[in-house]
Amino acid sequence: MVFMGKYGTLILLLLLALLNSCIYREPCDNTSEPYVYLSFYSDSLSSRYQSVSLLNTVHPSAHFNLFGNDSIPLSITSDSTVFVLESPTRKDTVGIGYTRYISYQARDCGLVVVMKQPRILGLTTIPPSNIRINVEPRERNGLFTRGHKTIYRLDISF
Amino acid sequence: MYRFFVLIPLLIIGLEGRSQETKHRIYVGLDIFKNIPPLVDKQGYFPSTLIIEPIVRVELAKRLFLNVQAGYSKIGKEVIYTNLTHYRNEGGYLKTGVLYAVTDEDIPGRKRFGISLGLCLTFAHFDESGIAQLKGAFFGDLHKNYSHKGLNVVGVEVPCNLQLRLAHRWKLNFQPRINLLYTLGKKTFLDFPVYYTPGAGNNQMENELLKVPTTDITGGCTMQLFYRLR
Repeated sequence: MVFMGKYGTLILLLLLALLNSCIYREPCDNTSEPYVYLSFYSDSLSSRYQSVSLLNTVHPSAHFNLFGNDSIPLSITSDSTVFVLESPTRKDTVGIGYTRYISYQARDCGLVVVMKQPRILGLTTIPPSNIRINVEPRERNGLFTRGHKTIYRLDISF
Repeated sequence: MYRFFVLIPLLIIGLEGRSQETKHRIYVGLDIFKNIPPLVDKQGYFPSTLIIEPIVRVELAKRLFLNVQAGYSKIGKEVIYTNLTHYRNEGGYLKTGVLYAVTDEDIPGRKRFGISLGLCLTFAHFDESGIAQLKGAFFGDLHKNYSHKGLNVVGVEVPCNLQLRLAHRWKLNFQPRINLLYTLGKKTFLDFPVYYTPGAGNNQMENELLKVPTTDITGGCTMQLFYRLR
């Protein structure tokens, strides 16, 4: 740098542009499937859903126990995800429809699937007044938040 | 009469000598670096690369040069992001602008090393394609072909030329550069920014630095060989 004299600053700037890999990037997830939060509202302990089963999966065990603050993956291969909620006294089918977009996330992580225009499908057995899709606060500006794939919260009351 | 016949050749030689001094220098060059890394490192930056980049430089005034570069680029890489594979990029580009020789290496009997700074406008027209392969643990993987034709990127390039005179008419130019790029029109249907712009390089700082999806800063360095025509 000394021998370059007054051109040293310019060359330093050029080198900085080349060494941009020092920029911090968030870690990438192993799966591209976004999640939806499930929130249940009930006064009756006996009718509380205890498990959920995903339909049309390739995974051998797509059955989960529910603990009250749960999330389930959404399908990236189709425009809907269907799952069955089970309690000791009842069994309900829920279908969520959406439109998929493939979007750029970050250089290290590449592409992600973003779901927009979520809707409850007609096959859902829970009355429409008891189920509602909410957008997570951090997604309300319409932009996909890098590093966070959870987009929606499903409020179910019974 | 005898004196006249002696003077005429001397006058012609004298004028020729003066015109040599005032003649605007013209160089033709070729990029000799961009195709080498893929030959050395098959798993590296862009394993399949063909870049042809001829250059013409004309001296407009003392130390001020017009620089014109036209290039063709065809590159490929099996994986660019973790989930975008079989990437291909093909297109042409044009760079034109001016260079100012801060120190002139092409003066016989003087220094062999020179530095010039420049400002060029760039335009690239190209196609990009690849396959998006997104893993889905529960519902299976998503595979989708991506192809976008007719991408147009304009930009400004600031090159810094470090030139070494090799022989009477030959010189070697090591060129680091910075590019500011802007993608015209809509982004691709996959909604992700251009990955590589022919003539400029990898669009590396998108989102991380500028926060504008269609604007990029990139940089690079290359080596060019020049021959002085006159």
